[in-house]
Amino acid sequence: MITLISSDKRKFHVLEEVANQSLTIRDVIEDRRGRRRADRIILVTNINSKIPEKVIVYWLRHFLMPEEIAHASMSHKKAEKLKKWEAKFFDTDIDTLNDLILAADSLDIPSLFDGACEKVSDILKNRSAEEVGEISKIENEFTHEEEEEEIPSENAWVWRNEFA
Amino acid sequence: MTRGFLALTKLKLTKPKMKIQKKRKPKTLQTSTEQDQDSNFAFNLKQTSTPSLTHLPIQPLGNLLLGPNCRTNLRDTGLGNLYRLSDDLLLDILSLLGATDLAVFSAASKSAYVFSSHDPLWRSLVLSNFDGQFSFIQSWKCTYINSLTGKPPSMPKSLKIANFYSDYLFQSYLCANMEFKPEWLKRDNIQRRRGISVEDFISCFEEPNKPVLLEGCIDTWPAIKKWTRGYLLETCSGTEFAVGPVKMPLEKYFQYSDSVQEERPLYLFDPKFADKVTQLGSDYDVPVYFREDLFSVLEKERPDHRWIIMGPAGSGSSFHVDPNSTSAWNAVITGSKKWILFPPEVVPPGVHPSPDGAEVACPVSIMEWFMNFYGSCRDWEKRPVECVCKAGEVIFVPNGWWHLVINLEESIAITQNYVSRRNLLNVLDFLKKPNASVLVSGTNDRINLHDKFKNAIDAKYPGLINQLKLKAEEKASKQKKMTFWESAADSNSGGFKFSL
Repeated sequence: MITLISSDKRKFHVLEEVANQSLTIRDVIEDRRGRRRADRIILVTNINSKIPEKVIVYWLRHFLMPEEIAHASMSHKKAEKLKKWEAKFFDTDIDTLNDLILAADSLDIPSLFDGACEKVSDILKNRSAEEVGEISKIENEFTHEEEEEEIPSENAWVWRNEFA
Repeated sequence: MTRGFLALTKLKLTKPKMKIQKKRKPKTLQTSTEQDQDSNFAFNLKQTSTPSLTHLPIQPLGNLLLGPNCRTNLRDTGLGNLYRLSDDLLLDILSLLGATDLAVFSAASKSAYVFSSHDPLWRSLVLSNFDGQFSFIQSWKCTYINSLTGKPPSMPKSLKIANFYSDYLFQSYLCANMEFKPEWLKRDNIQRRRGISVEDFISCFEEPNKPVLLEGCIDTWPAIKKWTRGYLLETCSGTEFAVGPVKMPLEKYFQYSDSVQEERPLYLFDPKFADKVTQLGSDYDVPVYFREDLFSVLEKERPDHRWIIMGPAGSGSSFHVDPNSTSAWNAVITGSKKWILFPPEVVPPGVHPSPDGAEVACPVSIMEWFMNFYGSCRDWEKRPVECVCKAGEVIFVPNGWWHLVINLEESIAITQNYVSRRNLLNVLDFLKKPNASVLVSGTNDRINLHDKFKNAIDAKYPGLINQLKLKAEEKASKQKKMTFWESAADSNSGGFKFSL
C-alpha cells in the first residue's frame, strides 16, 4: 500500500499495483524500493479537489484488465462495457477535463491522457466560433475590422465547405 | 534550454533577418572560452523567413518577465479556461481536430488564432487528407486550403498580435527559421583517406569498427555529372517516391522543398528507387570497399538495403542506430551533410533508448539538439566524431554507431547498408534476439529472418560461420591474456583513453 498526498494535503491509500498505472509513480516506487516505510508516501502536487478521487476511480476500473487492454484481447462485450463506462466518466465539464489532462500528464497515465484530450476535442468539434468561445470562456478580443474582414476572408473556405 | 532563452530575452521577432546578439561589455582581453560561450547565445535567422514570423510575432516567455510595460500574456487571456494547459498539451488536443474545427477555433480569439495556425498541425492534416497529391505553397495551412479549394486563402494583412509569449511556439519558429551556426561546423575530427586499398580499409576501419571519410572513390560515378534537377525530373517522370508517410512525384517534392521553412522538413527517402527507375541504379556502383554483400544470399527476401536521399537544407535524421546491426556507407552526390557520430557504448545526450533497444526516443528535433545538447558533450572525454561530408565523398558508418545527419544545403545522396564477414556474427546475433519481431526492420518476415539468413549463408558458404566464430574466440582470448599495462597501452588506439 502506498500513500498519495494531494496538494490540498489529503491522504489517499492505494494499492501499489493500482497506482502503478501511473508510470511516474511506478518509477518513484522503483527508485525507492527497499527503503524505509516513510518512502511509501508520495506527494502528488498540482492535483487537488476532486481530481485524486477521479484518477483513483479510473485506476480501479482499469486495474482488473490492464493486460487485456494493452493487447486488445478483450472480449467484445467487455470492451463495449468499458467504453460505456469511459464515456460516462469523461462526461464532465471542460474544467475538470483540463484538470484530468494535467494530472494524467504529470503522473504519466497514457490512456487517461488520451481519453481526456479526445473528450475536450470532441467538445470543440462541430461548433461555431461563438459556441467555442462560450464553452471555453474565451474572450474574443479581435478588433471590429479583424472580426468582420480578416478572419472571415481567411476562413471563407470553411463556410463554403460547410454549406456545400 | 533555460540558458538559451534567458539570453534570448532581448529578442523581438518582429522583423526577419534580425541578428540576435547578446550585448557584450567592452573588454580589451577576451579568452577564447568566453567568446565561445558568448556566441552560444547568438542566432541568425535565415534570409527568407516564413510569413508566419512576420504576422505572428511570438516572443519567448522571458520577455514577459523582463519586458518594460506589459504584464499580461495574450496567450493566456485569449484561451479562456484552456489557458492552464501547457502549449504542448493544448496542441495535443488541437491535433485531434479536423481542418474545419481547427479553422473555427482560430476565429475564437487572437490566442486561439496563433495556436491553430501552428503549421505542424496543418502539415498532418495535409498529409492525411491529400497524401502526396498537394502542391506546396507558402505554409502547410495555405497548402491545405489551396488543395481543398483550388485557391490560396487570403491571409489576414493587418491582424495585430502583440504581447504573445510562449517558449514552445517560439522555439518552434526559431528552429524552423534560424541558420545553422558556424561553430557547429568547426569541429572536423574524422579520419580521411584517399585511395587506400581495400585491405587497409578492412584492417584500419572496418575490422576495428571505426568511421572514416573516403575521398575520391566515386569520381567515376555517372551520377556525379548527370544528376541535375533537369535530368532527374526527366528520368523519373511519372514515378512517385517515398517522402515521409506519403508518396510524391519529384516535381511536387521539389516544389515543396524549394519553399518550405520548417523545423523538420520532409525528405525523400526511397528504398525502391532503383526498381522504380532502373537508370538511377545504373548511374552509380558500389565503391570497392563495400562490395561484399552477404544479405544478397536472401535474394528477394533480403531486407531493404539501399536508399536515395534528397532533402533541402535543414532536413536530415536525428540520432539513431542503423537497422539489423548493419554497417553503412553514404555517398553525397550533390550538396553537403554534417555528421555527428557516437560509438555504440556512448548514448548521445538527449537520447533515451528503451532498455530492449527497440525504441530510440530522441524527442528533440535536429536543430533543437544542436541548440540544447551539442554544447553539453563539448567537455566529454569521449567526444563524438564529426565531419562535413561534401559532394563526391563517402562516409563509412560502422555498425552500432549512433549518428545524426543534417543537410547543410539541398543534397542528394545514396546510402547502402550491408553485411560483410566483419559484421556477419553481429547481424546474426541481432536477428536472433528474443524481441526480433520489433527490432528487425526492412522486411516482412521479421521472426524467421535469422534462420533464413543463417541457412542461406551455410548453403552458399559452408563452414564460414564457424570459421568466423573461431576467429572471434581467438581474438577474445588473446585480448584476455594481455596484461593490464598492455591493454592500457593498446587502448590508446581503441575505444577509451587511459588516464592517470
